[in-house]
Amino acid sequence: MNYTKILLNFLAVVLLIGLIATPFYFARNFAKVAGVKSSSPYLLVSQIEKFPNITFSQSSDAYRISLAKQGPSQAFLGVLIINNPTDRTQTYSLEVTSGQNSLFFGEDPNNLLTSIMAPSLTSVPVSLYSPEEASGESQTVEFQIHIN
Amino acid sequence: MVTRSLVKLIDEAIIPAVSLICGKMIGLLASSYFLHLPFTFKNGQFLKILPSVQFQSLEAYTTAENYSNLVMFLVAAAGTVYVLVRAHYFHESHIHPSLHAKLVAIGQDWLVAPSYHLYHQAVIWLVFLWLTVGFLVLSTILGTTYPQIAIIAFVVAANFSWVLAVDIEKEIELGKSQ
Repeated sequence: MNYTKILLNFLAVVLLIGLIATPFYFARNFAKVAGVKSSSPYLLVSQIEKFPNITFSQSSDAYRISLAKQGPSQAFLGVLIINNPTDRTQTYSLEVTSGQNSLFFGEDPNNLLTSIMAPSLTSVPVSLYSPEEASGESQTVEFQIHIN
Repeated sequence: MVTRSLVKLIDEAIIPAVSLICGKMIGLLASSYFLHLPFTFKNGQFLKILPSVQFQSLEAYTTAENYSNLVMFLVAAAGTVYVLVRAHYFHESHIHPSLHAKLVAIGQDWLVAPSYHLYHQAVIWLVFLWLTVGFLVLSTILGTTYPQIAIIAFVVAANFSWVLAVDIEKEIELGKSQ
């Protein structure tokens, strides 16, 4: 008899906790940014096909973008999208390992962010800025993405 | 069998839980509709059976999250205010006799509630209110909610808790004097 009472009370407590937790579980999971869940710390989505005369390639953890310049200084906004598929906020930073061009987070060429905090399940555009100093008609930039 | 208080708490938790879920949904859909935020419904994304709202960009997601979290908090705050007003003015143990007489005269004496009912309701609403504050703080840390909302929510919840504490104090004083 006593065991039944303990069990019923325990189940009642579980039900109460479940009732209280449900709205917050719902609030946490009902809305998302379109993306794919993965164990990878980031997903890199190429938007290169929207830009003529730009190619994108990858070798291990190094990425390479080649472009044909059409003006003295140019910005290519949103050439890539970095997505955080994990369940926690990630800080990404971009490191250009070769080339005179710069890569930055966001789409503001006046604010060249090389490090950004991306909340869980969010996406951030990555843009390319080719300054006047990078004068050759054909440009290449190699870069890596680090997680801090 | 099951403790009476536990059954009462479960009973009182249903309406706040449903209200908060509705608040979140209405907040999300209203902000998406009025601010023209692009979104799609994707089936089987939430608990493997329910649809989830998927926003196309981080900005749209953050804006909708902020407004919906704010609506969710307002729902929790409104429920708590309702219970606190009843506990303060329509509490069976210390309602003013003339107010009680007026309520009876207009047939609204259902507003008067005993301590047992009011305190169970107040505990549940305050738990939901504080958990909403916790949720907002966590969302702020994760970068999806503006810190201003979490700070305001904390101040409001702290004040509401204080108002309830004042009422409990009054009740204890009354108990001592009887």
